Amino acid sequence: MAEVNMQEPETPTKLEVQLAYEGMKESNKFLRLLKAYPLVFVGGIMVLALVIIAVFAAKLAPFNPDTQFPNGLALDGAPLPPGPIFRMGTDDLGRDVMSRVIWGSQVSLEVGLMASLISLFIGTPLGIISGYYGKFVDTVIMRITDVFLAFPFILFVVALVAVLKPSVSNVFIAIGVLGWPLTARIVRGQVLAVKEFEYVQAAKALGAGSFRILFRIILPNIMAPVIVLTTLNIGNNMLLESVLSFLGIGVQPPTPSWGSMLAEGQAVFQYAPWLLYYPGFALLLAVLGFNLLGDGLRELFNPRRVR
Amino acid sequence: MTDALLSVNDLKMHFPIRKGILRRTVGYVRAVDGVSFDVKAGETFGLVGESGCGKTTTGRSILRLIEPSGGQVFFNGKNVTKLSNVEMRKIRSEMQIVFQDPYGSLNPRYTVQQTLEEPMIIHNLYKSAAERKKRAMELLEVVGLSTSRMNRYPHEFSGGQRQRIGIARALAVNPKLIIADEPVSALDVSVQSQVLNLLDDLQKEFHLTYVFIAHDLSVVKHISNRVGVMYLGKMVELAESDSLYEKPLHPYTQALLSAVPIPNPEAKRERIILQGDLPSPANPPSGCYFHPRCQSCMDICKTTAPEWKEIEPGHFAACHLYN
Amino acid sequence: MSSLLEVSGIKTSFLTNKGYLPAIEDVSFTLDKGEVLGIVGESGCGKSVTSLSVMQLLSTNGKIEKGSIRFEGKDLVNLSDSDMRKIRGNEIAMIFQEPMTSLNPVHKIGRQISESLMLHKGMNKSQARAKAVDLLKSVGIPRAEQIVDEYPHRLSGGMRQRVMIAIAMSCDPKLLIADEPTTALDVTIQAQILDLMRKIRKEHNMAILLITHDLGVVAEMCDRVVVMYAGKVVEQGSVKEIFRNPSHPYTVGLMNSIPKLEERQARLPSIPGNVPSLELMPKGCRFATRCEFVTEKCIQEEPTLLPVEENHEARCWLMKKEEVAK
Ligand SMILES: Nc1ncnc2c1ncn2[C@@H]1O[C@H](COP(=O)(O)OP(=O)(O)OP(=O)(O)O)[C@@H](O)[C@H]1O
Ligand SMILES: Nc1ncnc2c1ncn2[C@@H]1O[C@H](COP(=O)(O)OP(=O)(O)OP(=O)(O)O)[C@@H](O)[C@H]1O
Ligand code: SF4
Ligand code: SF4
Ligand SMILES: [Mg+2]
Ligand SMILES: [Mg+2]
Repeated sequence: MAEVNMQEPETPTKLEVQLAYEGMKESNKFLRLLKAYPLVFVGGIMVLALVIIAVFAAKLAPFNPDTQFPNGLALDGAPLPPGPIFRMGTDDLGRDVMSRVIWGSQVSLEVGLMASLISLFIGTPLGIISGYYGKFVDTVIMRITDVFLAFPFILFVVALVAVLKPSVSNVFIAIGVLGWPLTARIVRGQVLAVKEFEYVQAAKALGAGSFRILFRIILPNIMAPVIVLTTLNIGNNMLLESVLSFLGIGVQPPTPSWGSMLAEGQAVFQYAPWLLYYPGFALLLAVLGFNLLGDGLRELFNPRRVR
Repeated sequence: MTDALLSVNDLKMHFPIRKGILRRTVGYVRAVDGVSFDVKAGETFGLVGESGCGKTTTGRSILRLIEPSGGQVFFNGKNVTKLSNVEMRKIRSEMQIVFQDPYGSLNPRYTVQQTLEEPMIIHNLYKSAAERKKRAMELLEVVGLSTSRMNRYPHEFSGGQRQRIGIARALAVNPKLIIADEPVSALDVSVQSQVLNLLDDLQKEFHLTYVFIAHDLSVVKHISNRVGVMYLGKMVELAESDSLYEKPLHPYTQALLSAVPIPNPEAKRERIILQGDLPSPANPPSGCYFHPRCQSCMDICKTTAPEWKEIEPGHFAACHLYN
Repeated sequence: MSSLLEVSGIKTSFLTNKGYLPAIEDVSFTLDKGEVLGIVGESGCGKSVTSLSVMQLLSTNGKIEKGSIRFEGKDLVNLSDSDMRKIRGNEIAMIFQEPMTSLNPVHKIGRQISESLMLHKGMNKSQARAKAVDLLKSVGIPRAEQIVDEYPHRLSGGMRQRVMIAIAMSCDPKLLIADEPTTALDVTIQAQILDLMRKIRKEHNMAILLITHDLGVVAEMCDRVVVMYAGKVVEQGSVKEIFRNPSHPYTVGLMNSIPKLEERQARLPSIPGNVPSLELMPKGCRFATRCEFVTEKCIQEEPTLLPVEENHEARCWLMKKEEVAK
């Protein structure tokens, strides 16, 4: 055995230098990342803020969002502009806009997240199977995605929600169920690329079963783009929820949702523009946050990145 | 089946060429087109040939990493091509493969330890995590790497070191046969010899049998007992390594040998320079596949494929010159 | 007579996230008219950087920090871009390792050859085309009249490399830089290309700077060799002397570690360890971490190029001892 052992090329000097170098790396890693990818951090902070607002909505909102305050309306019955008590003003039913915007984040986030997770859970396995097994299975799955992608998505969702009856959970189910083809396609593309790597062949040669190869070896190696896609999806799905609610087939009143607030505000935009500004701004920031985070993550995961 | 550990019989791998939206099959790439050879227990069988002649495809279809489209492979007397998936997975622990690309063949998300333990987990070789770890450390020592770097990821190792990790992984299941697909081609000359020596040592220590695939003739000659030369998916010559190099029979082998640059400026020799390029295996020439480039080409060569014959004891070739 | 190309003491660095790191340092060699000089060494030792420095084709993050490169007396380092462009392709031509990527896939072969003829030789279209056909014939491409109108992807690797050589030869350069011209090719095709290069060199009395990692190619093609290791020239001399009397321990190890076709060796001698990386260069002799003759002095102080015989030098302290012993 001794003879087999060939010299390990580690001279003390080299090792020391290496260790010193890596120590430096650890402590500065965060700062360096921050400097190289400010997007991730800006987006991350926006998303984090949104999550905190949604989770602690009950604590953060000054009032109950559904209470129609008698003092929330001007004498002529018009909504109140932002003021000392109702800091973002009130709507035409005398409800506090700030509280409604804060509670609205819950709906947005819930729909955005759940819909993306549903797409992820349907799309990923189908994409993996399609990419890995190829042949007939692949053709069938891909043709189905073609059909889905060829139809106008929004019309589909509208139809599905109409059939299911509008409610928060039905909205995210509809968006999620119809959103899987994109996930499936991207996952499939990744699988096709990763499958060719010799480490996958090596696992097969070692006797690994299909399940192990698919979920222990291929899946972790395609996680990065899938995470990016899901992040971007959350933002898009939030937008979609607003559109549906705006059209009146999404979240039903009185549940506060940015989309329905926009719809309600639109009628009185002339004399109560704050009813559009605040929910609109909230939506903008939330979607932007997820997009920044997603794009940032894509950069971060890019193996050819230069740091 | 005599004393052969591995016996490949008329192995064929034809990849369909598909065209159009309907992906109809319009032809076949005859990547491996009827290759036969035996490998005795404990020997190293070399497989040489130029790029695209089907060496990798041969290696992978022996292990059924791709399903061969024809022929049989016998391993230890068992017909590998007939085994069910479950039986196949069991037998995989006895036949292993080492890949050409030390960068692509290790999972970038596994540490060295995970890479080495994976085969043990797949084949349920050890009960406890501690035993697996101990074995992984042993394996690293066997291939000459320090165990202190077990928790590192592949990208932190050099090409030669990764190739050692790949070899250690193949050894983890105590295989009898290792198919080494160009294990040193991607390595620098000075590191190449380290890995060749390691393979040599391991063979002696663990009584391994190798199928050693390479395009570098001097490397194959150095490590192999017997060598098979492939051209366009077919075996054209097979002999003991010394007799192949001293007395190559097939015109292709002769050209191949004479094309290798010799690192000695004072050596003067006659050089055979082949005309033309390697034809495509999707559209091979008629008769003897080598005839458009062969300097001894005769009329019969253009129409009839030569037979695979034992021309001298242990020395096979497929060429009309020896009829 | 002065040399055709005179590279002296160049240091080329690249900007990385750890600042400027020198890829090659103190590289000097000369090349006479009609001579073939080989540069050998392992991957990453700086062979390509050397050739790109001569051509002034370094990527934007690289720069020549020190030294001069004289071509027929002109210092290329300080030449303006437009003057350099007149030399490139005209007086110095270059062919690359990857025949697949060095031709433009969207233009026909003929156009790619005639381009430089029209640029440097002021030929018109039909003259250039006729010359392109001639050139293709001269590099041994069959059916040259048809091939001029083909796109590169229709050609095999060996054919593409011939086309590259045809392009390089189009303006009858005085110097051809060939960066691993046959590494991506099969041995039988490599033999064809090397044969072609030998023929062209003889016909045109052209100097060649041949970069390779294959000592066999060096032995067959070159008059003189420069052996590089970790960014430095470690040994140089005439091919015959270097093969007869390799003196730097690295060169010796390299020569011993290639399996020989003509003899049977039980075991290959090998050089332990790996090439040090750019950022972790030892401060003394760069080969010290792998050298069997290493001494305290080697670790502390870097050797200079020391004479071995006439026109043969090696960067190793052992050369000094020999002198003392004599
Ligand atoms: N999956 C595939 N589908 C279609 N053709 C294939 C496939 N794999 C290989 N081929 C073709 O089969 C032929 C043989 O390929 P193979 O990889 O076995 O050659 P090789 O001898 O290993 O070459 P190299 O020295 O370049 O590794 C080639 O022409 C190749 O293009
Ligand atoms: N554009 C670049 N930016 C940063 N570093 C570079 C760049 N080009 C080359 N280098 C570094 O310079 C060193 C020498 O590279 P070079 O390409 O000259 O090697 P080589 O000897 O040609 O190797 P090979 O045989 O692999 O072609 C390497 O360590 C490489 O990482
Ligand atoms: S069979 Fe004919 S063409 Fe083929 S190798 Fe022999 S002599 Fe040449
Ligand atoms: S200087 Fe010292 S370490 Fe460097 S090659 Fe010579 S003997 Fe070896
Ligand atoms: Mg191969
Ligand atoms: Mg290079």
